[in-house]
Amino acid sequence: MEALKKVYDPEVGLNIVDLGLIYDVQIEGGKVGVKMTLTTPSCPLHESLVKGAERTIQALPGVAQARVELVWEPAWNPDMMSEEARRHLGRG
Amino acid sequence: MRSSQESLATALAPSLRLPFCYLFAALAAFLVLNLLFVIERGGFSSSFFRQGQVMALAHLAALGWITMTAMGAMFQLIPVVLEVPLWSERLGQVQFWVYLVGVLGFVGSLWSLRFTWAPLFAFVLFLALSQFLLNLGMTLVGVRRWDWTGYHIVAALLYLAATAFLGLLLALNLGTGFLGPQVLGFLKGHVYLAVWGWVSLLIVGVSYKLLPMFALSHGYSEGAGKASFVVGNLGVLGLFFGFILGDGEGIWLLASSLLLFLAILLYAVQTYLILKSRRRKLDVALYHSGAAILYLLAAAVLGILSSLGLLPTGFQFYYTYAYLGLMGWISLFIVGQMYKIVPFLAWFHKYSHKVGLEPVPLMKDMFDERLAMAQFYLMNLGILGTSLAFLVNNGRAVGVFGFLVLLGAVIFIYNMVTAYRR
Repeated sequence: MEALKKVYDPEVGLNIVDLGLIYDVQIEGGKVGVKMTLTTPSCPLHESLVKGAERTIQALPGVAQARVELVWEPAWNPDMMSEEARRHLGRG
Repeated sequence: MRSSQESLATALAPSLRLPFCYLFAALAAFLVLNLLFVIERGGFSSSFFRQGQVMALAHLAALGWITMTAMGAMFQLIPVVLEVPLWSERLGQVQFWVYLVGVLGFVGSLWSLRFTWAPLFAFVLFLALSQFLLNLGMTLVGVRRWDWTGYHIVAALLYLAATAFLGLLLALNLGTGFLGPQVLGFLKGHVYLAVWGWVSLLIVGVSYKLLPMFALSHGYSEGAGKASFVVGNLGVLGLFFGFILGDGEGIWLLASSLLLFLAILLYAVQTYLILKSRRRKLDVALYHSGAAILYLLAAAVLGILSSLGLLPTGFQFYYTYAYLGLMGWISLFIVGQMYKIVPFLAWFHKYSHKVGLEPVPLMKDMFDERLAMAQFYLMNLGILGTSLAFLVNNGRAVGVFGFLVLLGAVIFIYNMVTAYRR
């Protein structure tokens, strides 16, 4: 999870973990599977964020395979953001 | 969990070259438009409404700036927003050059008062718009999940088709006069379809997608927006048929104007609900959008007061109404959204593949945000001042405040170029 904080949504200016986009992380040996979402299905940053998350995990020592799956249920809502994210955006 | 790797996808979007050629041609048109506006300031006091220079400026705004931007943005956004690939990128590239020739030739023939050339270039424009409508129409056939933005886009495209056809008839009339005394009704129908049908409906529909996305708005009611769509279409169609079939006077015009006014109020309510439920502070794009909607309301109030016979008739009023609509509402909204679209396209091209590997700039770092806010205030001062100057029929003040808008346009274009080169 800490590693994924390096991946920022460049529009909002927040990392994908604090934004509440990461739903689940599964680790089995050298394989890492992540389930993540976006703030809206119309988000044009789809490819950038998914690939960015994959590249970040892949670069971690001991990771042989990284797979990021994009899911839409449950749908993201602002309550999924961290306290820090809400403070950053100024309208928690 | 429902999952979708292929969803939405920038993978569906066309190459950057396609939207960028339209968007940068539109920026050039915006600069020339504001420059010519300042040069032509004295011409607005003329009582001869159909003079060539004013028609040239109106068409440079509508075709060169607004519709050119709309085309570039739609080629990029429709595949993303409606999750469907563009039917033909190649046709979009060919259409750009046909359309460019049409705009330059048509606006040039009006500006230079060579009206005999206008029908030819109107036909070129009609051809380019037909290419655009074919491309978008075939693209929309593939949409699997329709939403209210999609309905707005379809309606807007139908209005564009009707606007283009009427425009061709009006251009042919320049040489032949075959429309006879009905020409004024056709002209009004053409203008209302273009401004309220094609452009405004497109902006409204797209804003229902973009405003919540950029403001992180959730949990708001969508009822006002849906009602606005139904009522607004009735109003636009009522006005159109009123102008075309009759003299556009009386109870029919009043009822249609009231429907359009109600639709605008409902849209304002909808955007208020969206922005009220936002989870972010307003940024430069949202400031522009908010101000644009206030100008829309001001234009709507002027329009309804006129329909009720509570305003004196005169060219000052028409110019104020048109300026508030074209520059206050439509242009300011477009300028705001360009602060999202152009930096995103440039960022995606240069930095998307570096996410997770190295630090990448944020979208707001792609341009000078402080300059953008200075431009926002400058343009607003200019738009407000020009509108008032039109109202009191002061050509010199039109030039002074028009110059402030021109300065704003220069800053805006500087920021767009900065974002592109970042």
